[in-house]
Amino acid sequence: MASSPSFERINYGLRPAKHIERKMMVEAFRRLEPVASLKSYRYVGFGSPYFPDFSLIHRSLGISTMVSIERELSSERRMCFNRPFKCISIEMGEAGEVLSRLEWNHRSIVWLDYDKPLDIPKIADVKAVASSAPSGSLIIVSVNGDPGQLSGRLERQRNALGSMFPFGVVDDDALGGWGTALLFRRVLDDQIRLALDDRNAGLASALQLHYKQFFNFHYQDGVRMLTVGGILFDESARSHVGACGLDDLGFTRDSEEAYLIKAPNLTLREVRHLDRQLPCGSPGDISADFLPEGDVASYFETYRYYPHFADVDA
Amino acid sequence: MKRGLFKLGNYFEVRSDTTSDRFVLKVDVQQWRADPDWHFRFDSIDRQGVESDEAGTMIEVRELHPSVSRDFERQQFLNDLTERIAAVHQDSMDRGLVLSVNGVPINIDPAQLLESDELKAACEEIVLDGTSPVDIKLYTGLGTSSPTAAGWYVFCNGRAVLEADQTIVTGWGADEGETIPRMHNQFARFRGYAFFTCDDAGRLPWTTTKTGVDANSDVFRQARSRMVKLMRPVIDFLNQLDREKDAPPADMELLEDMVNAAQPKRIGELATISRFTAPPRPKVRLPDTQSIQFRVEKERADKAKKVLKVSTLGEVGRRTFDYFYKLECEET
Repeated sequence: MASSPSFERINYGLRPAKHIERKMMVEAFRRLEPVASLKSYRYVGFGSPYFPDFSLIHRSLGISTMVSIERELSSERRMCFNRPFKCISIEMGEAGEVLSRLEWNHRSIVWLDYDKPLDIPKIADVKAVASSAPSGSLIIVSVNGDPGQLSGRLERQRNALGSMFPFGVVDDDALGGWGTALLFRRVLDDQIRLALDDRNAGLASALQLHYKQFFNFHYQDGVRMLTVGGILFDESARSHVGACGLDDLGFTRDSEEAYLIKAPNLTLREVRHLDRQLPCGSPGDISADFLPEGDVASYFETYRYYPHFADVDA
Repeated sequence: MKRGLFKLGNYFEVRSDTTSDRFVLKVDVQQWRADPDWHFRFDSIDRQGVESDEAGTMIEVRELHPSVSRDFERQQFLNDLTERIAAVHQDSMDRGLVLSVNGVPINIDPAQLLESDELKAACEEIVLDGTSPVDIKLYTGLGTSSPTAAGWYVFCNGRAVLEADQTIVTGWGADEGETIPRMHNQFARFRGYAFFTCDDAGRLPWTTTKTGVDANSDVFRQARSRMVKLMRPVIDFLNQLDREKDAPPADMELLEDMVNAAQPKRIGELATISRFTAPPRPKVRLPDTQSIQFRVEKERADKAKKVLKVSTLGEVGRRTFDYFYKLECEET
């Protein structure tokens, strides 16, 4: 094996931007009520031993059909021991394997939360969901979008993505900065739509499924990460999707332009000082001249989702 | 061509300018269908030509069918299309045709065969007479080892109609004068190229859709018997190469090393030799021993070992075989 499982290296609970993202996503999920009762959804994710997304989603939304996919066959007992709620079933195996054996008559929120860069097997997982999940389901994918070593970026991604590599991208520089994350979003968008094209072929237009992106997060707790996702819907659900008002949430994005989650480093005392002045119209209304302006602006945008970490002697 | 245009959209325009005349044809497909005679009418014809550097044909399709415009939005479709164009028009592009998709130029891998002082690809040219003669150029030789790329490539007037063919159409598994085995991994280096050229496209051995070979046409049948003849020495050599792996000669340069040292060369630049040539090697004698392997329950093996009073399982096999052979096979 190339490296130890990621859960042994990082405690996902302690990544502030990831934390904010998770809470923003739950706020968006809550808006799905016009499409279908949230309780009726199934959540599919990678729980790892901490299950932060599972806990949050069960507690906040009441979703109680939950599937956690776990590939480390040797850690099955540990995963089962750590599962925070009884309603989480642990499915051992590679994501592609598990996704193809799940029943797909259940409206689902599927979050494929990888920590490695995008490659063909991961795209196959995403397509497995896009080609099976029913109308009203959400597909969300997180991948590492770091450009990596300066030389050979184009070559590396071409090898990783094969014929799925975006057409006409020939410039190595295009992959620097957030360029690799942008490229991955393009590939994912293209492949989800291709899976739907195949699925829709020959179907009456009322039965055809469409995809609307509403998550496009960039964040950087260490390396650059990308989360992209959206909803699958048929014609009868189209107006319900519109009624969710997802576009009103400041952090949703339906295009290539991403929402960058910035988590400022603040002391608890600073946080309390800022909170007492919130909500307010704009970051300029907040008085905190001892803090960098950028941090105040970032906090203004994220304060409702900002995590508070403390050392607890539990 | 019109079938292709109908498949793309509901409106098309063809503008053609030559040095002697020019025309414009605009077709609204729905209107054209309503015409009981299905006539195409020129919108303008001009007997006045243009300067030669302005000559050319432009075909524009508009009002694309939804499935077509959707396909063109998909990155992977554009990649696959590019790959397809490069494969089909490989020969024409090798001879200078420039093609691009959405402004991005298409690159091709030109047809190449390995060549060195000792290793020469075969090249044969046949001309079939007639009012417009058919020119056939055949090449056989070696390429990189790839079971999927191996086989015959057949072009008609520069357009690929068969790629990496490994079927009886191009002689694999044929038994007519020469016997050619079916495709097998040991032939992964085989490459054959057949170029048919004729001013009268009707004489070329392609199907009406120009996407495959008409294997029954006289032209192709004549070519095929030559193709099989040119294949034989390459197949023999590849068999020899394969045998060498089982029993490498101690005192000679390995054929494998020699093949690896050969350089790929564009087929137009190859030395013209009518037979595939490689250094001769003495026939390798197949070993006259064989090994036998089988599994038995451990308990039985241990018991046999004890009865035979031997210490290794190899010895058990050897002794039990000898025992059987002595009692059942020897004729004394």
